[in-house]
Amino acid sequence: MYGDVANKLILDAKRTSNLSEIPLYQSDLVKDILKEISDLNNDVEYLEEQEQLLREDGENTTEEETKINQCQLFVTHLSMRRNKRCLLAYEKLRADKIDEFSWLNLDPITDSTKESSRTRNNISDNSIYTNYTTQLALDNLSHPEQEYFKNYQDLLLEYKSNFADIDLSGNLEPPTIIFIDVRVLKNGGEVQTEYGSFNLIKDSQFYVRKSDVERLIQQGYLEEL
Amino acid sequence: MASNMDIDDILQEFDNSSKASLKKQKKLSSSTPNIYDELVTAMLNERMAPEILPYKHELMTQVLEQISNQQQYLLDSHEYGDLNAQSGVVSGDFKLQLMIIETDVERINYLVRLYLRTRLSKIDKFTIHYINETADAEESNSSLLSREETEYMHQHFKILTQLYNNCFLKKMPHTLTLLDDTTGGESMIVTPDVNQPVFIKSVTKAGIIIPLGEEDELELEENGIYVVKYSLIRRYIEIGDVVLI
Amino acid sequence: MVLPSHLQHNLMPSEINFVAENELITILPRYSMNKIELIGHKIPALRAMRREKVPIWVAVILKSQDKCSIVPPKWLNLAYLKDKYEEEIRKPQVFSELPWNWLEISKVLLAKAADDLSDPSHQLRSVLQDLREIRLVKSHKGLRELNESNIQLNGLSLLEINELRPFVLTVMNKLRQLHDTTTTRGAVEAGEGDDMDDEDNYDDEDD
Repeated sequence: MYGDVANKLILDAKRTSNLSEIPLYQSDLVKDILKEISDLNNDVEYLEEQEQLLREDGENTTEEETKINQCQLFVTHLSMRRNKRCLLAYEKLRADKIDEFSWLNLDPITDSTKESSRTRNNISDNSIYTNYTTQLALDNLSHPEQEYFKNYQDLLLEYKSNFADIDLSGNLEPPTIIFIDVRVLKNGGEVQTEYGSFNLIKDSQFYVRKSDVERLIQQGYLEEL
Repeated sequence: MASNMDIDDILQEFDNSSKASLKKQKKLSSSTPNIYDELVTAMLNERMAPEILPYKHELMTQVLEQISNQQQYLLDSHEYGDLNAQSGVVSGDFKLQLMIIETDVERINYLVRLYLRTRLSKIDKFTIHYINETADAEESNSSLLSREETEYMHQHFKILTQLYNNCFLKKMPHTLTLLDDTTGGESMIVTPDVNQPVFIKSVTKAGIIIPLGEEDELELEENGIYVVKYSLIRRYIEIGDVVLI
Repeated sequence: MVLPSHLQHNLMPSEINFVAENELITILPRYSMNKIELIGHKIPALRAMRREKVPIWVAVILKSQDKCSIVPPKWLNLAYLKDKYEEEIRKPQVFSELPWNWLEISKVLLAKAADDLSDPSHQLRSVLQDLREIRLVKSHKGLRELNESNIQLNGLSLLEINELRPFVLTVMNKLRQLHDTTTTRGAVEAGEGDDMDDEDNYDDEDD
């Protein structure tokens, strides 16, 4: 039935909307829908010709014949529009997800980075990014989509350049704790920060910028108090 | 001659320093109608309004300028700190003050980021609507969006159209290639729903009376909290008598 | 999308916390400190034992470095909160008046300045919890009164409102759709003396 293929595309879109990545572009489905639209368009042309003929042959045409023809024409038009809407909805969703990813300022996954990026990317742990597109594999995009991705990145760069002091891609979770008290757990060397340097001497305590010491906490040199 | 030069120098220096302190005073007074709180309100209003609100041109100019000043101050102070670290000139208090300033900058930065991104998300959602809106009344509506937002909107629409064209529109019959089609009983232009209910707080002493239907009306008392249709109170947001929450 | 979808129509609890931390609170400095010019606020020069008002987030930083103690707001003590609780029971139809961010502020102070509070933390926590629960029950009962045009929620705090928001908006939007369809149909059928609009009929009787 007309519209069945488009429906498949919409189901794919629905599934995609909850993913943190963008699945493979459904080029076959899109091609099939375009084919269907073109068939429908041929029907429209045929039906319009018929209508013309019926009108010219006014005397021998029953009202019923005209109505049937009009009805067919109407449904064909609707089916074409329906298909177009589905294509747009599908593509808009993918574009939205490309936009989302672009805002994160992360590198997309290419063939060469496929393995490493899966482990490196821990941004999705952040609760705020559930359902957010945090991964993008260039191979899954169609050519026009790849081009769009590049264009949108350029556009963002340009927009952001107007706000040099604002980190527009920064965390959307409010900054609550920027500085923390830490205690040194094991001896180490000197640590340099913008706020001066301090020595890792066991049991000493410091008030430091959280982002400056996150690594040291992970490595077990410091603990947050 | 030489002594003259010295006096000139002194005068010049005095002149400069008094100018500097004057400038500082001016900066102080300009920040008295607390721009921080204004920004919080602007951000919350924007978050909760179904449509985009007029861009806060003046507020944003002030905020961005102050952020830049504070960041410069932090940079200078850190440099000063580095130079004097050995001599122990930099006191713990001074460091703590810098940390408080940095926290303040981070907080403001976050508010601006959220404010601007909320606006962009609405522009993206209702692109064609706002393109029409800003084109229809170039003069009166020019302040709805900032220059940067207008540019973003047009450029984003351009690359999206390009994407749709390359993906499928150009392979379709000519009659189907429009993106702002309103025929066929279904408009393709998404517009904000201004009748959506919103949570509001009235913040003016003078009660506001809003009409409900034919005869009913509702009086909003100061600090009262209500849920009403956005369209009924939108003009009070602009003048600041009502805030969205 | 430029903004994650869950940020588009509601506030996150962390955001409400952020907003609450902008409110001013009185501190009692332990040492002197030079004034600080922030964007918007100005922190005056601090002198030991001279009370000053500063944003809560500044107070919390100063407190964490032992530079001050925090003077608890007048409502954050057992006697006051118990009074409010009694009031909530006495007046089932209204919410007792509590500060706009009472939940958030008490949370911050209990976490960061418990030693400055006049009553033991666990007792405060428990009465705060009681208050929160009784108000929650009340607001849920109040939701039965939802209609398509407006409601009043005086006395609720930002956090409490935010929790109601998704439900209230969904229901009001649905009611609005229903209302819109009945009124347009009502207008068409009005000439036929329909009984669609009950309210109007009552009005007529009143007259």
